[in-house]
Amino acid sequence: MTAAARSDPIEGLLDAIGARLPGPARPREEILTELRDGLLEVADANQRRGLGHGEAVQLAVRQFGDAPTIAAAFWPEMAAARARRVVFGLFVTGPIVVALWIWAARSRSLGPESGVFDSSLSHAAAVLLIAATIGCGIWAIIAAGHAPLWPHIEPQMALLGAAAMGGVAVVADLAMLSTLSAPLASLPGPVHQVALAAAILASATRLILTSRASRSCLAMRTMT
Amino acid sequence: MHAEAVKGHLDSILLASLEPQPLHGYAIMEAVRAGSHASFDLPTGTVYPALHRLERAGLVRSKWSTVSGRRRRTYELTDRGRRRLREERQSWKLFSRAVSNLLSGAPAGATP
Repeated sequence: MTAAARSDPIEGLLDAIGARLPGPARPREEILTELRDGLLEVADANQRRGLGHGEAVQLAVRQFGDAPTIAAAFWPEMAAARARRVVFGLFVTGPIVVALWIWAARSRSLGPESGVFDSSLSHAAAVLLIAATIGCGIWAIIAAGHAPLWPHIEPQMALLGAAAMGGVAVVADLAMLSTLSAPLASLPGPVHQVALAAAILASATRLILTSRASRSCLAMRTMT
Repeated sequence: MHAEAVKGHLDSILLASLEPQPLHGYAIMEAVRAGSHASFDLPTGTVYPALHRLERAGLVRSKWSTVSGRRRRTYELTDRGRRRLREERQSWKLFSRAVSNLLSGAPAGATP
Protein backbone atom coordinates (compact mmCIF):
# COMPACT_ATOMS: atom_id res chain seq x y z
CA MET A 1 0.00 0.00 0.00
CA THR A 2 1.32 3.46 -0.93
CA ALA A 3 1.67 6.34 1.56
CA ALA A 4 -1.20 8.13 -0.20
CA ALA A 5 -3.37 5.05 0.15
CA ARG A 6 -2.63 4.80 3.88
CA SER A 7 -3.75 8.37 4.52
CA ASP A 8 -6.54 8.68 1.93
CA PRO A 9 -9.42 6.17 1.91
CA ILE A 10 -10.10 6.90 -1.80
CA GLU A 11 -6.54 6.02 -2.80
CA GLY A 12 -6.75 3.00 -0.50
CA LEU A 13 -9.82 1.71 -2.32
CA LEU A 14 -8.26 2.44 -5.73
CA ASP A 15 -5.08 0.59 -4.69
CA ALA A 16 -7.17 -2.39 -3.62
CA ILE A 17 -9.08 -2.39 -6.93
CA GLY A 18 -5.91 -1.89 -9.00
CA ALA A 19 -4.20 -4.82 -7.28
CA ARG A 20 -7.09 -7.04 -8.43
CA LEU A 21 -7.04 -5.90 -12.07
CA PRO A 22 -4.75 -8.17 -14.10
CA GLY A 23 -3.64 -7.13 -17.57
CA PRO A 24 -1.99 -4.22 -19.36
CA ALA A 25 -1.13 -1.09 -17.34
CA ARG A 26 -2.79 1.51 -19.56
CA PRO A 27 -6.40 0.28 -19.40
CA ARG A 28 -5.93 -0.35 -15.67
CA GLU A 29 -4.76 3.25 -15.18
CA GLU A 30 -7.67 4.56 -17.24
CA ILE A 31 -10.15 2.59 -15.14
CA LEU A 32 -8.58 3.85 -11.91
CA THR A 33 -8.54 7.45 -13.20
CA GLU A 34 -12.23 7.20 -14.05
CA LEU A 35 -13.09 5.64 -10.69
CA ARG A 36 -11.04 8.31 -8.86
CA ASP A 37 -13.04 11.04 -10.61
CA GLY A 38 -16.27 9.28 -9.64
CA LEU A 39 -15.22 8.87 -6.01
CA LEU A 40 -14.17 12.51 -5.73
CA GLU A 41 -17.50 13.59 -7.26
CA VAL A 42 -19.39 11.53 -4.68
CA ALA A 43 -17.23 12.98 -1.88
CA ASP A 44 -17.85 16.54 -3.19
CA ALA A 45 -21.59 15.85 -3.28
CA ASN A 46 -21.46 14.54 0.30
CA GLN A 47 -19.67 17.73 1.38
CA ARG A 48 -22.31 19.86 -0.36
CA ARG A 49 -24.87 18.04 1.79
CA GLY A 50 -23.07 19.36 4.87
CA LEU A 51 -20.60 16.63 5.81
CA GLY A 52 -17.02 17.41 6.79
CA HIS A 53 -14.25 16.43 4.36
CA GLY A 54 -13.15 13.28 6.19
CA GLU A 55 -16.68 12.03 6.72
CA ALA A 56 -17.64 12.85 3.12
CA VAL A 57 -14.71 10.83 1.78
CA GLN A 58 -15.40 7.87 4.10
CA LEU A 59 -19.04 7.84 3.03
CA ALA A 60 -18.08 8.08 -0.66
CA VAL A 61 -15.90 4.98 -0.28
CA ARG A 62 -18.72 3.09 1.46
CA GLN A 63 -21.25 4.16 -1.21
CA PHE A 64 -18.92 3.03 -3.99
CA GLY A 65 -18.93 -0.69 -3.19
CA ASP A 66 -16.22 -3.17 -2.22
CA ALA A 67 -12.96 -3.59 -4.13
CA PRO A 68 -13.28 -7.31 -5.03
CA THR A 69 -16.77 -6.84 -6.50
CA ILE A 70 -15.81 -3.79 -8.54
CA ALA A 71 -12.55 -5.36 -9.78
CA ALA A 72 -14.37 -8.57 -10.76
CA ALA A 73 -16.88 -6.53 -12.77
CA PHE A 74 -14.00 -5.03 -14.78
CA TRP A 75 -12.53 -8.45 -15.59
CA PRO A 76 -14.05 -8.61 -19.12
CA GLU A 77 -12.52 -5.20 -19.90
CA MET A 78 -9.08 -6.28 -18.73
CA ALA A 79 -9.35 -9.65 -20.49
CA ALA A 80 -10.23 -7.95 -23.77
CA ALA A 81 -7.34 -5.49 -23.32
CA ARG A 82 -4.87 -8.32 -22.64
CA ALA A 83 -6.06 -10.26 -25.71
CA ARG A 84 -5.85 -7.19 -27.95
CA ARG A 85 -2.34 -6.40 -26.66
CA VAL A 86 -1.07 -9.93 -27.40
CA VAL A 87 -2.67 -10.03 -30.86
CA PHE A 88 -1.33 -6.58 -31.74
CA GLY A 89 2.17 -7.56 -30.61
CA LEU A 90 2.13 -10.72 -32.70
CA PHE A 91 0.75 -8.99 -35.79
CA VAL A 92 3.47 -6.33 -35.56
CA THR A 93 6.41 -8.62 -34.77
CA GLY A 94 5.45 -11.41 -37.20
CA PRO A 95 6.36 -9.57 -40.42
CA ILE A 96 9.51 -8.15 -38.76
CA VAL A 97 10.78 -11.61 -37.83
CA VAL A 98 9.97 -13.01 -41.30
CA ALA A 99 11.69 -10.01 -42.93
CA LEU A 100 14.82 -10.62 -40.84
CA TRP A 101 14.94 -14.28 -41.94
CA ILE A 102 14.50 -13.25 -45.58
CA TRP A 103 17.31 -10.72 -45.14
CA ALA A 104 19.52 -13.43 -43.59
CA ALA A 105 18.69 -15.86 -46.41
CA ARG A 106 19.43 -13.29 -49.13
CA SER A 107 22.64 -12.26 -47.46
CA ARG A 108 23.83 -15.89 -47.75
CA SER A 109 22.62 -16.15 -51.39
CA LEU A 110 20.20 -18.79 -50.22
CA GLY A 111 18.09 -19.22 -53.33
CA PRO A 112 15.91 -22.08 -54.55
CA GLU A 113 19.03 -23.95 -55.69
CA SER A 114 20.08 -24.41 -52.06
CA GLY A 115 17.17 -26.75 -51.48
CA VAL A 116 16.12 -25.10 -48.21
CA PHE A 117 13.14 -23.32 -49.73
CA ASP A 118 12.52 -25.90 -52.43
CA SER A 119 10.15 -28.15 -50.57
CA SER A 120 6.46 -27.90 -51.37
CA LEU A 121 5.87 -29.33 -47.89
CA SER A 122 7.69 -26.42 -46.23
CA HIS A 123 5.74 -23.97 -48.41
CA ALA A 124 2.45 -25.59 -47.39
CA ALA A 125 3.49 -25.58 -43.73
CA ALA A 126 4.42 -21.89 -43.92
CA VAL A 127 1.11 -20.96 -45.55
CA LEU A 128 -0.77 -23.03 -42.96
CA LEU A 129 1.07 -21.37 -40.07
CA ILE A 130 0.48 -17.86 -41.43
CA ALA A 131 -3.22 -18.60 -42.07
CA ALA A 132 -3.64 -20.10 -38.59
CA THR A 133 -1.90 -17.12 -36.96
CA ILE A 134 -4.06 -14.60 -38.80
CA GLY A 135 -7.23 -16.63 -38.18
CA CYS A 136 -6.62 -16.89 -34.43
CA GLY A 137 -5.78 -13.18 -34.31
CA ILE A 138 -8.97 -12.15 -36.10
CA TRP A 139 -11.03 -14.40 -33.83
CA ALA A 140 -9.38 -12.87 -30.74
CA ILE A 141 -10.01 -9.31 -31.95
CA ILE A 142 -13.67 -10.06 -32.68
CA ALA A 143 -14.10 -11.66 -29.27
CA ALA A 144 -12.24 -8.80 -27.55
CA GLY A 145 -15.11 -6.47 -28.36
CA HIS A 146 -15.63 -3.25 -30.26
CA ALA A 147 -17.26 -5.66 -32.69
CA PRO A 148 -20.98 -5.08 -32.40
CA LEU A 149 -21.76 -7.88 -34.86
CA TRP A 150 -20.89 -10.50 -32.25
CA PRO A 151 -21.43 -8.88 -28.84
CA HIS A 152 -22.44 -12.22 -27.29
CA ILE A 153 -18.92 -13.65 -27.58
CA GLU A 154 -17.33 -13.62 -24.15
CA PRO A 155 -13.85 -12.17 -23.49
CA GLN A 156 -12.77 -15.67 -22.38
CA MET A 157 -12.85 -16.53 -26.08
CA ALA A 158 -10.65 -13.53 -26.84
CA LEU A 159 -8.08 -14.80 -24.37
CA LEU A 160 -8.32 -18.28 -25.88
CA GLY A 161 -7.88 -16.85 -29.39
CA ALA A 162 -4.87 -14.79 -28.31
CA ALA A 163 -3.32 -17.79 -26.55
CA ALA A 164 -3.90 -19.96 -29.63
CA MET A 165 -2.36 -17.30 -31.85
CA GLY A 166 0.64 -17.21 -29.52
CA GLY A 167 0.89 -20.99 -29.68
CA VAL A 168 0.93 -20.97 -33.48
CA ALA A 169 3.52 -18.17 -33.46
CA VAL A 170 5.72 -20.24 -31.12
CA VAL A 171 5.50 -23.19 -33.55
CA ALA A 172 6.34 -20.84 -36.45
CA ASP A 173 9.36 -19.40 -34.65
CA LEU A 174 10.59 -22.84 -33.64
CA ALA A 175 10.17 -24.00 -37.25
CA MET A 176 12.17 -21.05 -38.60
CA LEU A 177 14.89 -21.49 -36.00
CA SER A 178 15.23 -25.22 -36.55
CA THR A 179 14.98 -25.32 -40.35
CA LEU A 180 16.80 -22.14 -41.32
CA SER A 181 19.53 -21.35 -38.80
CA ALA A 182 21.67 -24.46 -39.47
CA PRO A 183 21.63 -24.25 -43.31
CA LEU A 184 22.28 -20.50 -43.19
CA ALA A 185 25.22 -20.94 -40.83
CA SER A 186 26.78 -23.79 -42.80
CA LEU A 187 26.35 -22.66 -46.41
CA PRO A 188 29.36 -21.28 -48.24
CA GLY A 189 29.23 -17.70 -49.38
CA PRO A 190 29.64 -14.22 -48.02
CA VAL A 191 29.25 -14.23 -44.29
CA HIS A 192 26.60 -11.87 -42.98
CA GLN A 193 26.69 -12.77 -39.34
CA VAL A 194 24.72 -9.68 -38.39
CA ALA A 195 21.71 -10.68 -40.50
CA LEU A 196 21.69 -14.24 -39.21
CA ALA A 197 22.25 -13.17 -35.59
CA ALA A 198 19.43 -10.60 -35.85
CA ALA A 199 17.03 -13.20 -37.25
CA ILE A 200 17.90 -15.77 -34.57
CA LEU A 201 17.73 -13.15 -31.81
CA ALA A 202 14.37 -11.84 -33.03
CA SER A 203 12.86 -15.32 -33.28
CA ALA A 204 14.23 -16.42 -29.91
CA THR A 205 13.05 -13.24 -28.17
CA ARG A 206 9.61 -13.51 -29.69
CA LEU A 207 9.50 -17.18 -28.76
CA ILE A 208 10.11 -16.40 -25.08
CA LEU A 209 7.76 -13.39 -24.93
CA THR A 210 5.01 -15.17 -26.84
CA SER A 211 5.18 -18.25 -24.62
CA ARG A 212 4.88 -16.01 -21.56
CA ALA A 213 1.99 -14.00 -23.07
CA SER A 214 0.09 -17.14 -24.09
CA ARG A 215 0.47 -18.63 -20.61
CA SER A 216 -0.73 -15.38 -19.02
CA CYS A 217 -3.81 -15.36 -21.32
CA LEU A 218 -4.65 -18.92 -20.31
CA ALA A 219 -4.04 -18.12 -16.64
CA MET A 220 -6.29 -15.06 -16.84
CA ARG A 221 -9.17 -17.19 -18.17
CA THR A 222 -9.30 -18.97 -14.82
CA MET A 223 -9.59 -15.70 -12.85
CA THR A 224 -13.31 -15.15 -13.53
CA MET B 1 -35.46 -0.21 -4.11
CA HIS B 2 -32.90 -2.99 -3.71
CA ALA B 3 -29.97 -2.89 -6.16
CA GLU B 4 -30.55 -6.55 -7.11
CA ALA B 5 -34.02 -5.67 -8.44
CA VAL B 6 -32.50 -3.10 -10.79
CA LYS B 7 -29.62 -5.29 -11.98
CA GLY B 8 -31.48 -6.97 -14.83
CA HIS B 9 -32.54 -3.60 -16.21
CA LEU B 10 -29.32 -1.71 -15.58
CA ASP B 11 -28.28 -1.53 -19.24
CA SER B 12 -31.64 -0.07 -20.33
CA ILE B 13 -31.61 2.39 -17.42
CA LEU B 14 -28.11 3.58 -18.33
CA LEU B 15 -28.99 3.92 -22.02
CA ALA B 16 -32.10 5.92 -21.12
CA SER B 17 -30.13 8.23 -18.82
CA LEU B 18 -27.72 8.99 -21.68
CA GLU B 19 -30.48 9.72 -24.20
CA PRO B 20 -30.82 13.47 -23.59
CA GLN B 21 -27.09 14.28 -23.46
CA PRO B 22 -23.57 12.87 -22.91
CA LEU B 23 -22.78 12.36 -19.20
CA HIS B 24 -19.93 11.15 -17.00
CA GLY B 25 -20.29 8.30 -14.49
CA TYR B 26 -21.39 10.29 -11.45
CA ALA B 27 -23.77 12.47 -13.49
CA ILE B 28 -25.36 9.27 -14.84
CA MET B 29 -25.88 8.08 -11.26
CA GLU B 30 -27.50 11.38 -10.39
CA ALA B 31 -29.71 11.24 -13.48
CA VAL B 32 -30.83 7.72 -12.53
CA ARG B 33 -31.50 8.79 -8.95
CA ALA B 34 -33.44 11.88 -10.03
CA GLY B 35 -35.31 10.08 -12.82
CA SER B 36 -36.42 7.33 -10.44
CA HIS B 37 -37.39 9.83 -7.70
CA ALA B 38 -34.58 8.38 -5.57
CA SER B 39 -36.03 4.85 -5.84
CA PHE B 40 -32.86 3.55 -7.51
CA ASP B 41 -29.76 4.20 -5.44
CA LEU B 42 -27.14 1.83 -6.83
CA PRO B 43 -23.67 1.38 -5.34
CA THR B 44 -21.74 3.95 -7.42
CA GLY B 45 -19.00 1.48 -8.37
CA THR B 46 -21.40 -0.82 -10.23
CA VAL B 47 -22.18 1.78 -12.88
CA TYR B 48 -18.67 2.04 -14.33
CA PRO B 49 -18.18 -1.62 -15.32
CA ALA B 50 -21.66 -1.56 -16.86
CA LEU B 51 -20.73 1.49 -18.95
CA HIS B 52 -17.57 -0.26 -20.14
CA ARG B 53 -19.64 -3.30 -21.10
CA LEU B 54 -22.03 -1.09 -23.09
CA GLU B 55 -19.08 0.51 -24.84
CA ARG B 56 -17.64 -2.89 -25.77
CA ALA B 57 -21.04 -3.77 -27.23
CA GLY B 58 -20.95 -0.60 -29.33
CA LEU B 59 -24.00 0.92 -27.61
CA VAL B 60 -22.15 3.91 -26.13
CA ARG B 61 -18.88 5.66 -26.90
CA SER B 62 -16.66 7.58 -24.52
CA LYS B 63 -14.21 10.44 -24.66
CA TRP B 64 -11.82 11.93 -22.14
CA SER B 65 -11.70 15.57 -21.06
CA THR B 66 -10.14 17.54 -18.23
CA VAL B 67 -12.50 19.30 -15.82
CA SER B 68 -11.10 21.35 -12.91
CA GLY B 69 -7.77 19.57 -13.30
CA ARG B 70 -9.38 16.11 -13.13
CA ARG B 71 -9.47 13.71 -16.09
CA ARG B 72 -13.04 12.74 -16.79
CA ARG B 73 -14.60 10.12 -19.09
CA THR B 74 -17.90 11.12 -20.67
CA TYR B 75 -20.26 8.69 -22.39
CA GLU B 76 -22.76 9.21 -25.19
CA LEU B 77 -25.18 6.97 -27.05
CA THR B 78 -24.22 5.60 -30.44
CA ASP B 79 -26.80 5.10 -33.20
CA ARG B 80 -26.82 1.44 -32.29
CA GLY B 81 -27.42 2.40 -28.66
CA ARG B 82 -30.41 4.57 -29.61
CA ARG B 83 -31.88 1.70 -31.65
CA ARG B 84 -31.40 -0.68 -28.72
CA LEU B 85 -33.08 1.80 -26.37
CA ARG B 86 -36.13 2.00 -28.66
CA GLU B 87 -36.35 -1.80 -28.72
CA GLU B 88 -35.97 -2.03 -24.93
CA ARG B 89 -38.73 0.57 -24.45
CA GLN B 90 -41.09 -1.36 -26.69
CA SER B 91 -40.35 -4.63 -24.96
CA TRP B 92 -40.71 -3.03 -21.51
CA LYS B 93 -44.15 -1.63 -22.42
CA LEU B 94 -45.39 -5.10 -23.40
CA PHE B 95 -43.86 -6.69 -20.31
CA SER B 96 -45.14 -4.11 -17.83
CA ARG B 97 -48.64 -4.18 -19.33
CA ALA B 98 -48.71 -7.97 -19.00
CA VAL B 99 -47.46 -7.90 -15.39
CA SER B 100 -49.88 -5.09 -14.49
CA ASN B 101 -52.76 -7.15 -15.86
CA LEU B 102 -51.68 -10.18 -13.87
CA LEU B 103 -51.09 -8.31 -10.63
CA SER B 104 -54.27 -6.23 -10.85
CA GLY B 105 -56.33 -9.26 -9.93
CA ALA B 106 -58.62 -8.79 -12.93
CA PRO B 107 -60.12 -12.08 -14.15
CA ALA B 108 -58.35 -13.70 -17.11
CA GLY B 109 -59.79 -12.58 -20.43
CA ALA B 110 -61.26 -9.38 -18.99
CA THR B 111 -60.32 -6.23 -20.84
CA PRO B 112 -58.76 -3.51 -18.66
